[in-house]
Amino acid sequence: MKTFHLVSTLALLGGGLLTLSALPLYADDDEHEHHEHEGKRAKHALTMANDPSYVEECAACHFAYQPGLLPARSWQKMLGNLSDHFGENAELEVDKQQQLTTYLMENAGDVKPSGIYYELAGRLNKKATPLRISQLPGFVHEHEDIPARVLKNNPDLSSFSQCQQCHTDAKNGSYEEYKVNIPGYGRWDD
Amino acid sequence: MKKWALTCTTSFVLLTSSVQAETPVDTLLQSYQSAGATHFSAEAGKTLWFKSFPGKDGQRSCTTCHGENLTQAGKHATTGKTIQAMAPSVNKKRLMQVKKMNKWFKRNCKWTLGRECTAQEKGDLLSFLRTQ
Ligand code: HEC
Ligand code: HEC
Ligand code: HEC
Repeated sequence: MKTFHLVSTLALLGGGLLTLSALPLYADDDEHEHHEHEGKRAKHALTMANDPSYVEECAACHFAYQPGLLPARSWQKMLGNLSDHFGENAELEVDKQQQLTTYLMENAGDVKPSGIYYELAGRLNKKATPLRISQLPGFVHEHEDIPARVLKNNPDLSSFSQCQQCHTDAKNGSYEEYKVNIPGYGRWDD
Repeated sequence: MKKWALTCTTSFVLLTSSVQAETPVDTLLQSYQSAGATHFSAEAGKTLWFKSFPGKDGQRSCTTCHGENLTQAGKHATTGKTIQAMAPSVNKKRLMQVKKMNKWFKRNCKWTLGRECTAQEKGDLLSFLRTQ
Protein backbone atom coordinates (compact mmCIF):
# COMPACT_ATOMS: atom_id res chain seq x y z
CA MET A 1 0.00 0.00 0.00
CA LYS A 2 2.73 2.37 1.03
CA THR A 3 4.90 1.45 -1.96
CA PHE A 4 1.95 1.87 -4.25
CA HIS A 5 1.33 5.31 -2.83
CA LEU A 6 4.95 6.34 -3.33
CA VAL A 7 5.09 5.04 -6.88
CA SER A 8 1.91 6.79 -7.85
CA THR A 9 3.02 10.06 -6.27
CA LEU A 10 6.27 9.93 -8.15
CA ALA A 11 4.49 9.06 -11.37
CA LEU A 12 2.15 11.99 -10.89
CA LEU A 13 4.99 14.34 -10.14
CA GLY A 14 6.88 13.94 -13.32
CA GLY A 15 5.90 10.99 -15.44
CA GLY A 16 7.71 7.81 -16.33
CA LEU A 17 11.29 8.75 -15.57
CA LEU A 18 10.58 9.46 -11.95
CA THR A 19 9.10 6.06 -11.25
CA LEU A 20 12.43 4.58 -12.27
CA SER A 21 14.04 6.11 -9.23
CA ALA A 22 11.85 3.94 -7.05
CA LEU A 23 13.05 0.79 -8.81
CA PRO A 24 16.29 -1.05 -8.17
CA LEU A 25 19.13 0.15 -10.32
CA TYR A 26 19.33 -2.85 -12.64
CA ALA A 27 16.25 -1.42 -14.30
CA ASP A 28 18.70 0.72 -16.25
CA ASP A 29 18.64 -0.66 -19.78
CA ASP A 30 21.99 0.71 -20.91
CA GLU A 31 23.89 -1.39 -18.45
CA HIS A 32 23.40 -4.85 -19.87
CA GLU A 33 26.52 -6.33 -18.38
CA HIS A 34 25.17 -5.63 -14.93
CA HIS A 35 22.29 -8.04 -15.28
CA GLU A 36 24.65 -10.96 -14.67
CA HIS A 37 25.44 -9.64 -11.22
CA GLU A 38 21.89 -8.80 -10.29
CA GLY A 39 21.88 -10.68 -7.01
CA LYS A 40 25.20 -9.24 -5.93
CA ARG A 41 24.31 -5.70 -6.95
CA ALA A 42 20.96 -5.74 -5.22
CA LYS A 43 22.77 -6.32 -1.96
CA HIS A 44 25.75 -4.08 -2.62
CA ALA A 45 24.29 -1.10 -4.38
CA LEU A 46 22.02 1.76 -3.42
CA THR A 47 18.99 2.92 -5.35
CA MET A 48 20.25 5.39 -7.94
CA ALA A 49 19.74 9.11 -7.59
CA ASN A 50 18.03 9.60 -10.94
CA ASP A 51 15.10 11.86 -10.13
CA PRO A 52 15.46 14.54 -12.85
CA SER A 53 14.80 17.47 -10.49
CA TYR A 54 17.28 16.09 -8.00
CA VAL A 55 19.96 15.74 -10.65
CA GLU A 56 19.27 19.22 -12.05
CA GLU A 57 19.33 20.99 -8.67
CA CYS A 58 21.56 18.89 -6.44
CA ALA A 59 24.13 17.57 -8.89
CA ALA A 60 25.05 20.87 -10.54
CA CYS A 61 27.95 21.47 -8.16
CA HIS A 62 28.87 17.93 -7.22
CA PHE A 63 28.20 14.22 -7.49
CA ALA A 64 24.54 13.19 -7.07
CA TYR A 65 24.76 11.61 -3.62
CA GLN A 66 22.21 8.78 -3.31
CA PRO A 67 19.36 9.60 -0.89
CA GLY A 68 20.14 6.30 0.88
CA LEU A 69 23.48 7.64 2.14
CA LEU A 70 22.01 9.80 4.94
CA PRO A 71 19.14 9.43 7.41
CA ALA A 72 15.90 11.34 6.72
CA ARG A 73 16.56 13.82 9.55
CA SER A 74 19.86 14.87 7.94
CA TRP A 75 18.21 15.61 4.60
CA GLN A 76 15.47 17.56 6.32
CA LYS A 77 18.00 19.70 8.16
CA MET A 78 20.17 20.25 5.08
CA LEU A 79 17.26 21.22 2.83
CA GLY A 80 16.03 23.61 5.51
CA ASN A 81 19.18 25.68 5.25
CA LEU A 82 20.31 25.76 1.63
CA SER A 83 21.29 29.42 1.69
CA ASP A 84 24.33 28.39 3.73
CA HIS A 85 25.25 25.05 2.22
CA PHE A 86 28.87 24.26 3.11
CA GLY A 87 29.77 27.88 2.44
CA GLU A 88 27.77 28.14 -0.80
CA ASN A 89 24.34 29.40 -1.67
CA ALA A 90 22.23 26.51 -2.96
CA GLU A 91 18.84 28.12 -2.32
CA LEU A 92 15.80 26.78 -4.17
CA GLU A 93 12.32 28.06 -4.84
CA VAL A 94 9.90 26.86 -2.15
CA ASP A 95 8.05 24.30 -4.29
CA LYS A 96 11.29 22.71 -5.56
CA GLN A 97 12.71 22.68 -2.07
CA GLN A 98 9.63 20.89 -0.74
CA GLN A 99 9.55 18.42 -3.60
CA LEU A 100 13.21 17.49 -3.09
CA THR A 101 12.86 17.26 0.69
CA THR A 102 10.08 14.71 0.17
CA TYR A 103 12.11 12.79 -2.41
CA LEU A 104 15.19 12.63 -0.20
CA MET A 105 13.32 11.77 3.01
CA GLU A 106 11.23 9.03 1.38
CA ASN A 107 14.36 7.38 0.00
CA ALA A 108 16.65 8.03 2.97
CA GLY A 109 18.96 5.37 4.40
CA ASP A 110 16.88 4.80 7.54
CA VAL A 111 13.65 4.59 5.52
CA LYS A 112 14.92 2.25 2.78
CA PRO A 113 17.66 0.36 4.61
CA SER A 114 20.59 -1.18 2.73
CA GLY A 115 23.83 -2.92 3.56
CA ILE A 116 25.76 0.19 2.53
CA TYR A 117 23.78 2.46 4.82
CA TYR A 118 24.19 0.04 7.70
CA GLU A 119 27.94 -0.03 7.07
CA LEU A 120 28.25 3.76 7.05
CA ALA A 121 25.67 4.77 9.64
CA GLY A 122 25.01 1.65 11.69
CA ARG A 123 26.85 3.14 14.64
CA LEU A 124 25.44 6.63 14.28
CA ASN A 125 24.00 8.09 17.48
CA LYS A 126 20.22 8.35 17.05
CA LYS A 127 20.35 11.91 18.35
CA ALA A 128 23.07 13.08 15.96
CA THR A 129 22.11 14.76 12.68
CA PRO A 130 25.26 14.85 10.53
CA LEU A 131 25.20 16.79 7.27
CA ARG A 132 28.20 15.07 5.76
CA ILE A 133 28.21 11.48 4.56
CA SER A 134 31.98 11.70 4.80
CA GLN A 135 31.71 12.21 8.56
CA LEU A 136 29.44 9.25 9.34
CA PRO A 137 31.16 6.93 11.86
CA GLY A 138 31.27 3.99 9.44
CA PHE A 139 32.58 6.22 6.65
CA VAL A 140 35.49 7.39 8.74
CA HIS A 141 36.22 3.80 9.74
CA GLU A 142 36.09 2.46 6.16
CA HIS A 143 38.40 5.18 4.85
CA GLU A 144 40.91 5.52 7.69
CA ASP A 145 43.55 3.34 6.00
CA ILE A 146 43.82 5.68 3.02
CA PRO A 147 47.05 7.65 3.41
CA ALA A 148 46.73 11.44 3.64
CA ARG A 149 49.22 11.97 0.81
CA VAL A 150 46.65 10.59 -1.62
CA LEU A 151 44.58 13.75 -1.17
CA LYS A 152 47.46 16.20 -0.95
CA ASN A 153 48.08 18.29 -4.07
CA ASN A 154 46.10 15.82 -6.14
CA PRO A 155 44.74 17.69 -9.17
CA ASP A 156 41.91 15.17 -9.55
CA LEU A 157 40.91 14.77 -5.94
CA SER A 158 40.65 17.26 -3.09
CA SER A 159 38.33 15.72 -0.52
CA PHE A 160 36.47 12.59 0.54
CA SER A 161 33.27 14.27 -0.63
CA GLN A 162 34.20 13.33 -4.21
CA CYS A 163 33.00 9.71 -4.02
CA GLN A 164 32.93 9.26 -7.81
CA GLN A 165 36.64 10.03 -8.21
CA CYS A 166 37.62 6.85 -6.35
CA HIS A 167 34.52 4.68 -6.60
CA THR A 168 34.37 4.18 -10.35
CA ASP A 169 30.77 2.89 -10.25
CA ALA A 170 29.45 5.32 -7.61
CA LYS A 171 26.86 6.82 -9.92
CA ASN A 172 25.18 3.41 -10.04
CA GLY A 173 25.10 3.33 -6.25
CA SER A 174 27.87 0.75 -6.10
CA TYR A 175 30.77 1.23 -3.67
CA GLU A 176 32.44 -2.17 -3.64
CA GLU A 177 36.12 -2.20 -2.83
CA TYR A 178 37.17 -3.96 -6.03
CA LYS A 179 35.81 -1.05 -8.07
CA VAL A 180 37.94 1.54 -6.30
CA ASN A 181 40.54 3.32 -8.42
CA ILE A 182 42.16 6.30 -6.71
CA PRO A 183 43.37 9.00 -9.18
CA GLY A 184 47.16 9.20 -9.19
CA TYR A 185 47.38 6.17 -6.93
CA GLY A 186 45.55 3.30 -8.57
CA ARG A 187 43.54 0.31 -7.50
CA TRP A 188 43.03 -0.52 -3.87
CA ASP A 189 43.93 -3.93 -2.46
CA ASP A 190 44.22 -4.43 1.23
CA MET B 1 -15.96 23.57 -34.51
CA LYS B 2 -13.92 24.10 -37.63
CA LYS B 3 -13.53 27.77 -36.84
CA TRP B 4 -12.42 26.92 -33.35
CA ALA B 5 -9.71 24.61 -34.66
CA LEU B 6 -8.56 27.31 -37.04
CA THR B 7 -8.30 29.89 -34.28
CA CYS B 8 -6.32 27.44 -32.22
CA THR B 9 -3.88 26.80 -35.06
CA THR B 10 -3.42 30.48 -35.72
CA SER B 11 -2.79 31.35 -32.11
CA PHE B 12 -0.41 28.42 -31.91
CA VAL B 13 1.53 29.72 -34.91
CA LEU B 14 1.58 33.21 -33.44
CA LEU B 15 2.76 31.88 -30.12
CA THR B 16 5.62 29.86 -31.57
CA SER B 17 6.79 32.64 -33.82
CA SER B 18 6.88 35.19 -31.02
CA VAL B 19 8.88 32.73 -28.90
CA GLN B 20 11.35 32.23 -31.73
CA ALA B 21 11.83 35.92 -32.28
CA GLU B 22 12.90 36.52 -28.72
CA THR B 23 15.55 34.45 -27.01
CA PRO B 24 15.66 34.00 -23.23
CA VAL B 25 18.69 36.31 -23.22
CA ASP B 26 16.63 39.05 -24.96
CA THR B 27 13.93 38.63 -22.34
CA LEU B 28 16.45 39.18 -19.58
CA LEU B 29 18.13 42.15 -21.29
CA GLN B 30 14.70 43.80 -21.60
CA SER B 31 13.99 43.25 -17.93
CA TYR B 32 17.37 44.78 -17.01
CA GLN B 33 16.49 47.81 -19.12
CA SER B 34 13.20 48.26 -17.32
CA ALA B 35 15.25 48.10 -14.12
CA GLY B 36 17.20 51.17 -15.27
CA ALA B 37 20.18 49.75 -17.16
CA THR B 38 21.11 51.51 -20.39
CA HIS B 39 23.44 50.46 -23.15
CA PHE B 40 24.97 47.00 -22.73
CA SER B 41 28.61 46.44 -23.57
CA ALA B 42 30.09 43.04 -24.38
CA GLU B 43 33.52 44.58 -23.76
CA ALA B 44 32.57 45.59 -20.20
CA GLY B 45 31.08 42.11 -19.71
CA LYS B 46 34.34 40.52 -20.80
CA THR B 47 36.34 42.66 -18.38
CA LEU B 48 34.04 41.70 -15.50
CA TRP B 49 34.14 38.01 -16.44
CA PHE B 50 37.93 37.93 -16.10
CA LYS B 51 38.24 40.37 -13.18
CA SER B 52 39.53 39.08 -9.82
CA PHE B 53 37.96 39.85 -6.46
CA PRO B 54 39.46 39.07 -3.04
CA GLY B 55 37.75 36.09 -1.35
CA LYS B 56 38.39 34.23 1.87
CA ASP B 57 40.59 31.67 0.13
CA GLY B 58 42.42 33.90 -2.34
CA GLN B 59 41.36 35.67 -5.52
CA ARG B 60 38.02 34.75 -7.06
CA SER B 61 36.64 35.32 -10.54
CA CYS B 62 34.05 33.81 -12.86
CA THR B 63 36.89 31.83 -14.38
CA THR B 64 37.70 30.17 -11.04
CA CYS B 65 35.01 27.62 -11.91
CA HIS B 66 34.24 28.23 -15.57
CA GLY B 67 37.90 28.25 -16.68
CA GLU B 68 39.90 30.73 -18.77
CA ASN B 69 38.67 29.34 -22.08
CA LEU B 70 34.93 29.63 -22.54
CA THR B 71 34.83 26.99 -25.26
CA GLN B 72 36.24 24.39 -22.90
CA ALA B 73 34.81 22.76 -19.79
CA GLY B 74 35.64 24.26 -16.41
CA LYS B 75 35.93 22.74 -12.95
CA HIS B 76 34.09 23.71 -9.75
CA ALA B 77 36.58 25.35 -7.36
CA THR B 78 35.48 23.43 -4.25
CA THR B 79 34.04 20.15 -5.47
CA GLY B 80 36.15 19.60 -8.60
CA LYS B 81 33.05 18.75 -10.64
CA THR B 82 33.31 19.36 -14.39
CA ILE B 83 31.23 22.31 -15.60
CA GLN B 84 30.37 22.14 -19.30
CA ALA B 85 31.68 24.91 -21.56
CA MET B 86 29.94 28.30 -21.20
CA ALA B 87 30.15 29.34 -24.86
CA PRO B 88 26.81 28.84 -26.68
CA SER B 89 28.81 28.24 -29.89
CA VAL B 90 30.00 24.89 -28.53
CA ASN B 91 27.27 24.19 -25.96
CA LYS B 92 23.77 24.58 -27.40
CA LYS B 93 22.14 24.22 -23.99
CA ARG B 94 23.70 27.45 -22.74
CA LEU B 95 21.67 30.57 -21.85
CA MET B 96 18.38 28.95 -22.85
CA GLN B 97 16.42 29.27 -19.60
CA VAL B 98 15.56 32.53 -17.87
CA LYS B 99 15.07 30.83 -14.49
CA LYS B 100 18.38 29.04 -14.68
CA MET B 101 20.30 32.21 -15.56
CA ASN B 102 18.64 34.15 -12.72
CA LYS B 103 19.46 31.42 -10.24
CA TRP B 104 23.13 31.15 -11.15
CA PHE B 105 23.68 34.89 -11.48
CA LYS B 106 22.47 35.27 -7.92
CA ARG B 107 24.63 32.43 -6.54
CA ASN B 108 27.74 33.07 -8.58
CA CYS B 109 27.85 36.86 -8.20
CA LYS B 110 27.51 36.46 -4.43
CA TRP B 111 30.29 33.87 -4.37
CA THR B 112 32.62 35.77 -6.69
CA LEU B 113 31.99 39.47 -5.98
CA GLY B 114 30.60 39.09 -2.46
CA ARG B 115 27.36 40.77 -3.58
CA GLU B 116 24.67 40.41 -6.22
CA CYS B 117 25.44 41.82 -9.67
CA THR B 118 23.56 44.93 -10.82
CA ALA B 119 21.18 44.86 -13.78
CA GLN B 120 23.85 46.70 -15.80
CA GLU B 121 26.54 44.13 -14.93
CA LYS B 122 24.30 41.18 -15.76
CA GLY B 123 23.35 42.75 -19.08
CA ASP B 124 27.01 43.34 -19.93
CA LEU B 125 27.92 39.77 -18.95
CA LEU B 126 25.14 38.25 -21.07
CA SER B 127 26.05 40.48 -24.02
CA PHE B 128 29.57 39.08 -23.78
CA LEU B 129 28.62 35.45 -23.10
CA ARG B 130 26.08 35.19 -25.93
CA THR B 131 28.73 36.03 -28.53
CA GLN B 132 31.09 33.30 -27.36
C1 HEC C 1 26.03 25.93 -5.52
C2 HEC C 1 26.68 24.64 -5.42
C3 HEC C 1 25.94 23.52 -4.71
C4 HEC C 1 24.65 23.10 -4.92
C5 HEC C 1 23.60 23.67 -5.89
C6 HEC C 1 24.44 21.98 -4.00
N1 HEC C 1 25.59 21.71 -3.31
FE1 HEC C 1 25.86 20.20 -1.96
N2 HEC C 1 27.77 20.86 -1.61
C7 HEC C 1 28.37 21.95 -2.22
C8 HEC C 1 29.70 22.12 -1.68
C9 HEC C 1 30.70 23.20 -2.10
C10 HEC C 1 29.89 21.10 -0.72
C11 HEC C 1 31.14 20.82 0.11
C12 HEC C 1 32.04 19.94 -0.70
C13 HEC C 1 33.39 19.72 -0.12
O1 HEC C 1 33.63 19.96 1.05
O2 HEC C 1 34.26 19.23 -0.88
C14 HEC C 1 28.65 20.31 -0.71
C15 HEC C 1 28.45 19.19 0.08
C16 HEC C 1 27.30 18.41 0.09
C17 HEC C 1 27.12 17.18 0.87
C18 HEC C 1 28.14 16.58 1.82
C19 HEC C 1 29.16 15.72 1.10
C20 HEC C 1 30.03 14.99 2.10
O3 HEC C 1 31.15 15.45 2.36
O4 HEC C 1 29.60 13.96 2.62
C21 HEC C 1 25.87 16.72 0.61
C22 HEC C 1 25.23 15.47 1.18
C23 HEC C 1 25.25 17.65 -0.33
N3 HEC C 1 26.16 18.64 -0.64
C24 HEC C 1 23.96 17.54 -0.82
C25 HEC C 1 23.35 18.49 -1.65
C26 HEC C 1 21.93 18.47 -2.00
C27 HEC C 1 20.93 17.46 -1.50
C28 HEC C 1 21.72 19.52 -2.85
C29 HEC C 1 20.42 19.97 -3.50
C30 HEC C 1 19.38 20.43 -2.61
C31 HEC C 1 23.02 20.21 -3.03
N4 HEC C 1 23.97 19.55 -2.28
C32 HEC C 1 23.23 21.30 -3.88
C33 HEC C 1 27.81 22.74 -3.21
C34 HEC C 1 26.53 22.64 -3.70
C1 HEC D 1 40.19 8.82 -1.88
C2 HEC D 1 39.32 7.86 -2.52
C3 HEC D 1 37.91 7.66 -1.95
C4 HEC D 1 36.90 8.58 -1.86
C5 HEC D 1 36.94 10.04 -2.28
C6 HEC D 1 35.76 7.89 -1.29
N1 HEC D 1 36.08 6.58 -1.05
FE1 HEC D 1 34.85 5.15 -0.27
N2 HEC D 1 36.40 3.82 -0.23
C7 HEC D 1 37.66 4.06 -0.73
C8 HEC D 1 38.49 2.88 -0.49
C9 HEC D 1 39.95 2.72 -0.86
C10 HEC D 1 37.66 1.92 0.17
C11 HEC D 1 38.06 0.53 0.68
C12 HEC D 1 38.64 0.73 2.04
C13 HEC D 1 39.08 -0.55 2.71
O1 HEC D 1 38.27 -1.44 2.86
O2 HEC D 1 40.23 -0.61 3.09
C14 HEC D 1 36.34 2.55 0.31
C15 HEC D 1 35.25 1.94 0.90
C16 HEC D 1 33.96 2.45 0.88
C17 HEC D 1 32.77 1.74 1.31
C18 HEC D 1 32.74 0.30 1.82
C19 HEC D 1 32.68 -0.60 0.61
C20 HEC D 1 32.63 -2.08 0.94
O3 HEC D 1 32.52 -2.86 -0.03
O4 HEC D 1 32.73 -2.44 2.09
C21 HEC D 1 31.70 2.56 1.11
C22 HEC D 1 30.23 2.24 1.38
C23 HEC D 1 32.22 3.82 0.59
N3 HEC D 1 33.60 3.70 0.47
C24 HEC D 1 31.46 4.92 0.27
C25 HEC D 1 31.97 6.16 -0.12
C26 HEC D 1 31.16 7.35 -0.32
C27 HEC D 1 29.65 7.42 -0.15
C28 HEC D 1 32.02 8.36 -0.68
C29 HEC D 1 31.70 9.83 -0.91
C30 HEC D 1 30.96 10.54 0.14
C31 HEC D 1 33.36 7.78 -0.72
N4 HEC D 1 33.29 6.45 -0.37
C32 HEC D 1 34.51 8.47 -1.07
C33 HEC D 1 38.10 5.21 -1.35
C34 HEC D 1 37.39 6.40 -1.43
C1 HEC E 1 32.05 28.46 -7.42
C2 HEC E 1 31.95 28.05 -8.82
C3 HEC E 1 31.40 29.08 -9.83
C4 HEC E 1 31.83 30.37 -10.03
C5 HEC E 1 32.98 31.10 -9.35
C6 HEC E 1 31.00 30.92 -11.07
N1 HEC E 1 30.11 29.97 -11.51
FE1 HEC E 1 28.67 30.26 -12.92
N2 HEC E 1 28.04 28.32 -12.66
C7 HEC E 1 28.58 27.42 -11.76
C8 HEC E 1 27.82 26.19 -11.80
C9 HEC E 1 28.08 24.93 -10.96
C10 HEC E 1 26.79 26.38 -12.74
C11 HEC E 1 25.67 25.39 -13.12
C12 HEC E 1 26.18 24.21 -13.89
C13 HEC E 1 26.09 24.39 -15.36
O1 HEC E 1 25.27 25.18 -15.84
O2 HEC E 1 26.87 23.71 -16.06
C14 HEC E 1 26.96 27.74 -13.26
C15 HEC E 1 26.14 28.32 -14.22
C16 HEC E 1 26.21 29.64 -14.62
C17 HEC E 1 25.26 30.28 -15.51
C18 HEC E 1 24.05 29.63 -16.16
C19 HEC E 1 24.36 29.30 -17.58
C20 HEC E 1 23.14 28.81 -18.36
O3 HEC E 1 23.33 27.99 -19.26
O4 HEC E 1 22.03 29.26 -18.09
C21 HEC E 1 25.67 31.59 -15.65
C22 HEC E 1 24.98 32.69 -16.50
C23 HEC E 1 26.86 31.76 -14.85
N3 HEC E 1 27.16 30.55 -14.25
C24 HEC E 1 27.56 32.93 -14.77
C25 HEC E 1 28.64 33.14 -13.92
C26 HEC E 1 29.27 34.43 -13.73
C27 HEC E 1 28.87 35.73 -14.43
C28 HEC E 1 30.27 34.25 -12.82
C29 HEC E 1 31.20 35.29 -12.22
C30 HEC E 1 30.55 36.46 -11.62
C31 HEC E 1 30.24 32.83 -12.43
N4 HEC E 1 29.24 32.20 -13.12
C32 HEC E 1 31.09 32.24 -11.52
C33 HEC E 1 29.65 27.64 -10.94
C34 HEC E 1 30.34 28.82 -10.78
